[in-house]
Amino acid sequence: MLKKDPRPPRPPVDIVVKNSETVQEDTAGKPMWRISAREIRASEAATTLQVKGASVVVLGPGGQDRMRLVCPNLVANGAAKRLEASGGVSASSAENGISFKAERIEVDLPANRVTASGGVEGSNPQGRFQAGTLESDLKFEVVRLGGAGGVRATINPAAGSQGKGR
Amino acid sequence: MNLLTSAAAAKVNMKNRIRTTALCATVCLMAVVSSAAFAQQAQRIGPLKVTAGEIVFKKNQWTLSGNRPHLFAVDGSFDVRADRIVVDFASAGKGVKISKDSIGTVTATGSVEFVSKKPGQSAQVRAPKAVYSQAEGTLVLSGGVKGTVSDPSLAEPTPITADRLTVWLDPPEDGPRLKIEGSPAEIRVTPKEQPEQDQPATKG
Repeated sequence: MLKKDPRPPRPPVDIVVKNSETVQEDTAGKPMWRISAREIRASEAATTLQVKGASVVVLGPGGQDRMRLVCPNLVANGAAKRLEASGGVSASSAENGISFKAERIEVDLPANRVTASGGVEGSNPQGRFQAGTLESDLKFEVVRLGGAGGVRATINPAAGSQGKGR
Repeated sequence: MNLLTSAAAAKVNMKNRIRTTALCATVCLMAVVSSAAFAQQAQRIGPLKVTAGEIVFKKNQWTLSGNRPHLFAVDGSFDVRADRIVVDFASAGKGVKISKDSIGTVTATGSVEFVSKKPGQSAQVRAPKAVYSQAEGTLVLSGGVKGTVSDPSLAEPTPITADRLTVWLDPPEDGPRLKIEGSPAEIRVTPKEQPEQDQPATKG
């Protein structure tokens, strides 16, 4: 017969790791993202990380670099496969040549969705843009800019290298 | 027989007159429009600024919609407003090779307002559709074009009404500059009266 432990239940333990690099994996053991941070605070279950001073590489299914985020605050929810970056975030995708800044950016892997809000400003190979919101798939193949204040952009056609049709 | 000949001659004369009038009008308009209002949009346009309610980037294409999209040249040379504007990069068509980040075509649809501005010279045209093609070097307005061209050499703004108006933006010297199509297409040109030259003093 088991004796009941007379001690009170132990409070959850927070783990704080400073100046570290962490890779979070999904349940199948595939890496989802790599986080370099000034400080990572993890709950005992370690499914959710509270991160300060983060630089994140979001990885594709084959482990390729899909997009990068740099932000002062980050919540990385491994169970939900979601990232919430805030406090003035920079994002970029080398694959599509898009980069932008926003007050807040969320990455939702199961929904294949990136959303940004608050003073979205950025550029892609064809020009620069300013908007209130940005929505995209993780590959940045279709990017939708909007927001209550509308969208402003500058198109900079590449100089030279154009052939004439006649 | 004489009557018939006269009638035929009159018909020919009338034809010639119409042709001459049309030719004059076209030549005048060609000179005004090509040199003044449109020609400044060189074949390679840009940089451009745009505003819209929404912009979608998809496969080298920008689609502007909502809030009456507005596209204009940074140098102020022209201005387009429409319900929807699609800028295609790297799709000049007809086997033309351009950089993937260069503008191939710009298609504006839905109550298109095209304004070309230059100090002292301007054009203002409305049409249901306008297409700029980098490969062709043209701007084609279609679906019922109405507008005016103003120029210091004209007494008043020149009205244009046509089904379709094609403007060659960077025409070769002997090539076409402007094509107006319609049934009927109408142009009214009123050249400004030139100040009279001083007459040599007559003796006596």
